[in-house]
Amino acid sequence: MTVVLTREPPPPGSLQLSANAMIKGELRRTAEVWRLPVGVSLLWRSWDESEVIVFNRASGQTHLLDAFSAAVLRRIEAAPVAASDVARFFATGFELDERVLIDRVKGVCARFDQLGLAEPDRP
Amino acid sequence: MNVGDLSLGLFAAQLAARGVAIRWGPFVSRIVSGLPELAPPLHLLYADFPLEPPGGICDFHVRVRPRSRSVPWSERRVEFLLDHAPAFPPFSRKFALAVLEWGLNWCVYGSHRFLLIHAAAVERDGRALLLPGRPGAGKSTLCAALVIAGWRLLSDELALVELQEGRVRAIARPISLKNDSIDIIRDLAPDTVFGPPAVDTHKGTVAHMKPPSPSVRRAGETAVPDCIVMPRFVGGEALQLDPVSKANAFWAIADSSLNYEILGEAGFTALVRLIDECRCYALTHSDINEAVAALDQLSREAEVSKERYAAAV
Repeated sequence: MTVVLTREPPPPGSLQLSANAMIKGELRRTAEVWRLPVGVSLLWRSWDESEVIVFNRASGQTHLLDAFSAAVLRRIEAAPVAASDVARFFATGFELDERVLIDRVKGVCARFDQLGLAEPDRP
Repeated sequence: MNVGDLSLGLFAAQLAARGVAIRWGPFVSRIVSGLPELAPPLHLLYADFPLEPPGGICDFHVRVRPRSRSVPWSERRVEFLLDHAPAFPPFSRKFALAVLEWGLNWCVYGSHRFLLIHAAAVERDGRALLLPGRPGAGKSTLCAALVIAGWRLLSDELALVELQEGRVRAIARPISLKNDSIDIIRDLAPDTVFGPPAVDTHKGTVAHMKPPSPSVRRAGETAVPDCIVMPRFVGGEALQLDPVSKANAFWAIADSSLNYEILGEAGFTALVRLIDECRCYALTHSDINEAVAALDQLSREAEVSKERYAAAV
């Protein structure tokens, strides 16, 4: 089955990779922009607010996302965006702590990268 | 003309020579077999199924034949061929009927004009109830009990959902029951007709229940999907019928589907539509009569239940 649950916590190894990459530069850590990979096109369906099904036309994979992950991916789908901007957007809209959110957004983006749903916008 | 309109002798002769072309729902399979023990149960279980004229187009050309023995003292075996090629490894000749039934299921696996779901399906008042579940969940037993209670059999092993229209197709082939389920259904309806049991298969004892004549006659009628119930037989448990979130139902059906991934976007669209149209429940039970009564009630309350279901989820 190629369907993947992104509501599960990412495997420890994958987060480690992501964290190591970020140590290389403060600029990249704060300003890394995320976008959909070239050719990726998504179909969305949700029946309630807690879970969202998304189908990746490019890979043929289906993903079950929790509400937060879905909201992050929708922002990335709308236009390339920095993780810090996504965190700021949610922090402002929902009166949450931006410092907590930024780590969570980065974790979700790293998971999206593994799944081929998003990638850092490398020059 | 139906299979039962031929005498057993003539049927057996045709089966052994050029084969018999039997229609089951959207499919026609030409079956050839010279095994003398296969003709009587096939003639019995498929009595109400229409025969297609010789020379017509068939979806599947199948053959059940003895496999030559490598050494004289080894067990007699039979193999199932689809379009002249073995579909899976040979089985003991004692299981010839079961091998044919498993083989006919195998044929359907390649029919990608349908979303194929590992589920039983029954119909009442034009509305389909799907019973998906892993082997051992009790879906065939529940399906047989519902059919005995008056539901129309759509299919036992594989539910076929049209990709374009979203309706559920019927194939109405015999219901495959295993082990204790055979006696449960016999106790429920002593007049039920079964084929000869295959004992000591890899699934235990397997026996095939003859589908009711009205279900076979109406196999051309489709049904609108209305309800998905994921059954689970748990001895000693009180009956529980709980709504399931649509996202979870989507996931369960995608997991039960044989070709969801192969179909790609068409599969996603078909499954979304199916889930959109259905009320979704999980059923735990230990008493087949209670389970049938609960599903009867669910069927009667179709419109009301949609509102209740929405409120509960």
